[in-house]
Amino acid sequence: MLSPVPEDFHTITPQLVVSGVAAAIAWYSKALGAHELLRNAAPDGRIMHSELLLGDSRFFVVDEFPGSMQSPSTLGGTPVTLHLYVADVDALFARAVEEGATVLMPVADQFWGDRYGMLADPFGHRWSIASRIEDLSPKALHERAKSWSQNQEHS
Amino acid sequence: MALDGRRVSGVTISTVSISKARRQAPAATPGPDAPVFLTPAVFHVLLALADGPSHGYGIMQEVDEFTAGSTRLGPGTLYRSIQRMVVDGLIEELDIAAHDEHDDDRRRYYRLTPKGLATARGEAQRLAALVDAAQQRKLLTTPASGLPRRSRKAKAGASRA
Repeated sequence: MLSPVPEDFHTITPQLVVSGVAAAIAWYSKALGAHELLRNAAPDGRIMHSELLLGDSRFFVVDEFPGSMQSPSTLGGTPVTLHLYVADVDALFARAVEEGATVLMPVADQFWGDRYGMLADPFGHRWSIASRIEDLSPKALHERAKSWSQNQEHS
Repeated sequence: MALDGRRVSGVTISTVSISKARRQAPAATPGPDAPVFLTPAVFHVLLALADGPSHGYGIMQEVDEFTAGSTRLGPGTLYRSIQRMVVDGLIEELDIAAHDEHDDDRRRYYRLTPKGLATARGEAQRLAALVDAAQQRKLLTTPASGLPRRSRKAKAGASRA
């Protein structure tokens, strides 16, 4: 039976624009452990669609199409961070850095209950990677955030 | 338009090197290390392969048979499920491959891994316990009614449980 929501997708699926899809797919596979399902080329050879599996989630990677699809390297930055929960944040983070990711925030235990770090991949997309270490209620999270903010003010 | 890592670093905020101990940690992939979550399609594929190796089209036919046509795996769902199951180590592709006589696509054969078999058994037992609970609550007043026709395999599975 055809489901309007495909079973193998979650509600949100990111579509990343990069300059050079083939290199990006190779990097996401080697550094993050993604697996490619398919890629479709436009007549000029640019990749207009590709689909990768990462853990239990899927994301799309496409080439730049000036005017509509621009990569972080063309735009000079990205306002979006893709967040990954994995079993071993230290191992995955270390591998991504070995493969050429730029560390934006080293992995450390954070007040909100995650062991967490942030990096930029070689294509300019930003990822945060975490493993949960504490199961906190929204109330406890609010108190932790409040006391963290107060400490920032005083330092 | 080939890309090189040195050229693109538009979002650098700060660069901090990680400790050597961390760098030597074993590489992790989110896939194989993650707990296996069974979507309905994945469990159907596990059941279809419990009898022995098959290819994509064979899996679709098998599912159609043991659900008496009530569940049809579309090709997109099927191949995404197969991809996920290979990555998660539930199934593996056989070395043999055959050409379909009707087209040029290579026909890939898959079989359950020991992890796949254990996962299928665990899920079947979990579901059997839920069906027992439903029967105790008289939700299934006539156990056989409303259920799909049982295939040979479904009977074998039931007698084992």
